[in-house]
Amino acid sequence: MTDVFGMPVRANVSFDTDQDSSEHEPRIFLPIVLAIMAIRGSLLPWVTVREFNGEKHEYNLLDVKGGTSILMTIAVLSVIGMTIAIFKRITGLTVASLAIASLGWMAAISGALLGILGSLLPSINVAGIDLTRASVGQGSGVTITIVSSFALAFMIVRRLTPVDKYSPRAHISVLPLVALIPLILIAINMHSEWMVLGSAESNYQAIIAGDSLYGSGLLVLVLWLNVGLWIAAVIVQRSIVAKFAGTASILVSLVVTMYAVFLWGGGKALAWLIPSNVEKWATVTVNPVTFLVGFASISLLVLGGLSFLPSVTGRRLGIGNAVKLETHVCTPQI
Amino acid sequence: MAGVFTYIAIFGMTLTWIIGWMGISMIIGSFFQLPLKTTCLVGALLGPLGFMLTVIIGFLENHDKPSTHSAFQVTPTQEAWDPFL
Repeated sequence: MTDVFGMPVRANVSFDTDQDSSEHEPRIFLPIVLAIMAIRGSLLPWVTVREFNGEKHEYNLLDVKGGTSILMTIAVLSVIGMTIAIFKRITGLTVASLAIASLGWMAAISGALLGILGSLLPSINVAGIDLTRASVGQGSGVTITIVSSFALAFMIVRRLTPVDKYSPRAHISVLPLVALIPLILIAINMHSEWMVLGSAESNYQAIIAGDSLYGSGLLVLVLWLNVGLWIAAVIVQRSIVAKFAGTASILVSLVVTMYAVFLWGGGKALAWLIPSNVEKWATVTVNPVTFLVGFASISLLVLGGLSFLPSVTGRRLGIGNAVKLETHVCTPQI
Repeated sequence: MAGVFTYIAIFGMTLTWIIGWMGISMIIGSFFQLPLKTTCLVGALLGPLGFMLTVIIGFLENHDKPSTHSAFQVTPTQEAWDPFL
């Protein structure tokens, strides 16, 4: 590079990463979006009741007595937190995060209570499938609220000492982020309809969701624990945490794959065994969700295995870091 | 009136959950000598996951610390009380 006189120009380029704490503060846009997502999740179904005639009733937080007041309290606390965050970022976000976390825990506790209530009902077992529990399940809103509140909470937690030492701001691990995709997909679809026994024409129809299968309560618990472990692996970037999460993923995926294969195989066998004269009212339909869950669980199995390879766990994704590019052009003195 | 009771019950249950996990994380955090503010917030925000995170961070923190009480190393306390020094 030369100047107008043909003399070489010394370009002094310095990459100055800002050490000022204000530069490292989290931006407010993402926390606001996560808070809105968590609140929106509470307006989606939290509990789904399926009747044997194929009808479905869905309930959210607003259907509970005093639910509107609960949601308003959380929304007001979140707004107060976000307002404080404009002046004092971490403090404000902590207030908002605590409010949203309480909503997330309400969703989680409602799911747990649902499991307990379901277990108290007398069971009607057909080929290992509890048809009573098939009638009550979690809605999609629970997953959205919990994941959003967790994400917001982790944004705060990773700034705290000494967690920040294990959670570099410049990059995050790729494997946990990829592993969370099939895991959350399974978590959502565990409450979807996997198989339908009977036809819509007849009044009797049993809808079998993933959470009605034998031992599914424990599986859902381990599944959420695994989600937490992978999120922890995003924060604490140590291979030991990824290995823990990977091991849990392998266990979860093996059980879920077994569920999907057995349900698909059992459904096929049942459809083959049903006499042709009752086919009109006793059909067996395996929904596409079963195949989706099966595919997700196989992907999770592979990703769990990859967590033991240092070359894979070492892969990092660069995220926005404040870099100041300064160029000083020095022209020679004449 | 039922709405008020439900409101109190749901918030009470959630607060008990949050404060309970905060306490558990605080106890575990103090065992590993982690900062109180961190363990409180981790427990309150993340619940059982926060407890797990506290244990992981606790182990990592204590693992990273150099051992000052080695059998072949004189500790500063011992040095101060050594009459031959």
